[in-house]
Amino acid sequence: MSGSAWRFARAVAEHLGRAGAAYGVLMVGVALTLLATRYVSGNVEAQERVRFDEAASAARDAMDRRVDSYVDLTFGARGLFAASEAVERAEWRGYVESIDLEGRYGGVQAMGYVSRVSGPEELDAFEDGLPGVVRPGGERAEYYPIEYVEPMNAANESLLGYDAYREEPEHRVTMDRARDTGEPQTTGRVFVLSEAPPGSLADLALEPGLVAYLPVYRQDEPQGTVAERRRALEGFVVCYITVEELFRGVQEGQPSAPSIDFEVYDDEESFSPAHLLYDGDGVLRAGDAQEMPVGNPLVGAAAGAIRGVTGLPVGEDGSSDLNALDSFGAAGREWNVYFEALPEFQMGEEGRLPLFVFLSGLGVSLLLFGTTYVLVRNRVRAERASRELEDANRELEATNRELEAFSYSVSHDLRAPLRSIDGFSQILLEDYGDELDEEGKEHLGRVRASSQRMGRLIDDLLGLSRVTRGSLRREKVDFSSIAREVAETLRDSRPERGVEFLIEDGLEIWGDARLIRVALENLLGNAFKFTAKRSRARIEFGVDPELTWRGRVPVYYVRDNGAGFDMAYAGKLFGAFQRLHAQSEFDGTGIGLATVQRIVHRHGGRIWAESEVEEGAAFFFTLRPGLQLDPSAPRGAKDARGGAKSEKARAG
Amino acid sequence: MGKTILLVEDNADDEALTRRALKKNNIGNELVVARDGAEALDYLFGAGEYEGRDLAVMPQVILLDLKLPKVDGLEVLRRMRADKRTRLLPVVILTSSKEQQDLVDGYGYGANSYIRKPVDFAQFLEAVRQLGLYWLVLNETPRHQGEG
Repeated sequence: MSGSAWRFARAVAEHLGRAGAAYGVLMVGVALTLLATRYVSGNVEAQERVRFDEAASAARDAMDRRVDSYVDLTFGARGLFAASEAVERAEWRGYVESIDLEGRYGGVQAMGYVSRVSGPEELDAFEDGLPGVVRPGGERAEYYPIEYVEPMNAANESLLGYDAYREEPEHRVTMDRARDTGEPQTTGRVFVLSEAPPGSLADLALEPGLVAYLPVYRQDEPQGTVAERRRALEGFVVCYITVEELFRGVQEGQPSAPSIDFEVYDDEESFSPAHLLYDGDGVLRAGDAQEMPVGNPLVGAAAGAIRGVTGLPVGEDGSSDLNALDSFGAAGREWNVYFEALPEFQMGEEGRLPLFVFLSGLGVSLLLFGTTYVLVRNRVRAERASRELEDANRELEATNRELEAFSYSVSHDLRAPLRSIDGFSQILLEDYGDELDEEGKEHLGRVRASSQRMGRLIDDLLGLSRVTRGSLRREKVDFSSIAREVAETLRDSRPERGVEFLIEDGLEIWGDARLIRVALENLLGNAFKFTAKRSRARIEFGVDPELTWRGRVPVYYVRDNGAGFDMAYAGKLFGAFQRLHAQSEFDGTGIGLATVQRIVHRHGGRIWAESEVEEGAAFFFTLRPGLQLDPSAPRGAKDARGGAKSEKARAG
Repeated sequence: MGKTILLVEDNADDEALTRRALKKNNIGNELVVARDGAEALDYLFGAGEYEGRDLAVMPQVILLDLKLPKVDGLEVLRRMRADKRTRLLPVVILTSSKEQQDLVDGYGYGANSYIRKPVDFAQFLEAVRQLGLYWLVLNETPRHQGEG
C-alpha cells in the first residue's frame, strides 16, 4: 500500500521534474491573469461606483425637486387667498383646474382648503356653504373641516367637511407644526383615499400617501410669533399626494431608471418597514443592508452630495455592494433614501470586462502551458530517442564485435580442416600414387580442387563481410592510380595475355581507399577474367561523359570486350553466390560483384550493368555526390534519379 | 647440436603436414613441438615438463600459431619478447588468420615474419621451403652465450 503510494509520489515528482517549466509558465500565467483581473475589476468597480453615485445623486436631486415642487403647489394656492378677499368654491375649482394637476403633478390626489371654524356658533354658517356636514360632528372649540377640494370626484367628495384635525393625530400634529412655523409641513405616511385604479372592482382605494399642509393667515393680523400665528390662522391649503405616483415620476425622470432601486423612509434614523414611504421594486433592501457592517464613507466627487455612503459586499441574498444612503428635507420632515444598484446596473459591457480578462488570460495561460508542455515533452522524447539510439548503437557495436569474432573463427578454424584434406590428399598422391590407378588419382585431384575452392569461398565471404563492417574512412583517393596498380597486378599474373588497359587519368574521389581498391580489383579482375578468350582483350575504366548528368555526378564505368552476359539475368548479377557462367568456363565464387555493390552502396552510390552475350560487358557506378572532390559541385539528389533514368534508357 | 625448430601448434594434422613439408624440403633440423602456448613457454624457460632443460640450447626459429589453447600465440610472443633470454629469437607467425588486426598485433609484439597457411598444400610446401631457406640458412642470429 505504502509502496504504491511511494511509487505514485515518485511518478508525480518525476512528472513535475520533467514538466516543471510548463507548470511554472502556467502558474506565472494564472498569477498574471488574476492580477490583471483584479486590476480591471477594481477599475470597473470604481467606475461603476462613480456611475452609481452619480445616478443616486441625480435621483435624490430629482426627488428633492419634485417633492419641493409639489409642496410649492400649496404656496400658489395660498397666493389665491392673499389676492382675493374671500375665495369662492368656483374660484378654487378654476385655480386647481388651471394648474393641470393630472398632467403636470401626477400623484396629487386632491388640492383642498381646510377652514378654521371656531366653535359651534360658526359651524352652522360654515355648513351652509357646504354640500354636506362637518364630520365628525359634536361640539368642540375649533373645527378644521375641508371646505374646498378639487378635482371633484367620488374619492374627494368624501373629503368635504371631513375634520382630519379631529380624527387623525398625524394630521393634527402636522397642522399644528404648519400653523406654528408658517411653513409647509407634510405628514408621515398616511393613507390617501383615491379613485380605484382602472380594472379594480372597488370604487375607491386607500393608497399610501402624504398630506402637505400650508397655513393661511388673516392678512391683517401680525404673524411674527407663534402666538400671533395661532391667532391669525384662517385655515390650511392641503394637498393629498399618493407616493406611488410621486416617486414613480422620479424614477421615470431618471436616465438609468430601472437599474437603481430606491426606498424612501419617512424617518431620520431607521429603515424600518413601518416608515417606508416608497419602494421602487417592492423588495425591501435597506433593512438587509443595515444589518451589515457599515464601511467607510465614500471619498470622491459624489461624496459631497451623498451624506452617508456604505460600501457593502454583495450578500448571499443577492443584494448589491453598490448602495448608498442619503437624506433630504421635505416640507419639515427628514427622509432617508436608500439606493441600491439592481443586478442589471452591472450588466453593461464594462461589467463583463473582468470576466473577459480572466477567461482570456486563463486561455492564454493554458495555451502557453500546452505549448511549453509539448516542447518539454518533445525534448524529453528526443532525449529518450537519443538514448535508445545510443543503446541500439551499443548493441550494434556488440553485435559487430561478435560478428568479427565469428568471422575470425571461420577464417581460422574452417580453413584448418581444408588444409588437412588438401595436404593429406597430396601426401596420398605422392606416397601411394603407385598403388592408385588413374581414376583414383583423378578423384584425389578433385578432392584437392574442391578443398582449395572452398578455401577461396571462405576468403571471399570474409572479404564480403569485411566490406560492410567497420567505419568508412573518407580520404582523397586517386582513383586512376589505384586502377593502374590493379591493372598492373592483373597483367603480371598473366603476362602472356597482353591485355590492353585504357585507364582515364586524373580521377579523384573522396572515399575509403581500401574498399575502393577491393571494388576495382573485383571489377577489373572480372573484366580480365571474362576476356580470357579474346585475342585482343581491351579493358577500359573512366567517367562516362554521356551518362554523367550535366557533368555533375560522375558515372564511372568498367567496360570490356569479353564474354558478356545475357541481360535477362542482369538481376542476379549482384547477388552473393550468383554466377552467370559455368565453373568450368570461368572460375569464380560469385561473391565479387556482391562485394562491389556493397562497397558502392556504402559510398552512397549505385551500380548497374549492360551487356550482350559475346559482345562484352559494361559496369556503371556512381559514388555519393557529397563525396565528390569538386567543392563547387552541388550536393543534389539528382545522381540517383539521373542514374536510374539513363539506366532505364540503356536497358530499354 | 643442430639448430632446433620450435613448432607451436595444437592441430595434429597441421603438425603432420608441417613435418612433411620440412622433410620434403630436406630440412632435417630437430623439431620440437609444443601443443599449446603454456607448453611452448615451459620449453623456452625450462619449466614444467622441460624442467632442467639446457637453456643454452634455444631454437633457431619458432613457428608460432596464434590460436592456441591455454596461452594464445600473441601472449607467448609478448612473454618471449619481455624476457632477455628469448628476446631476440626469430619468431614466424604461422596461422590461418588473415585478419588485419592479427597481422598488426603480430608485428606489434615483435614477430619477425607472418605467414598465412595456404589451403593448397603445394603452396604450403613452397612457403615452408622459403621459410627454412631464409631462417635456417641465410639468416644470421646473434650468437647465444654458452653455445659452442
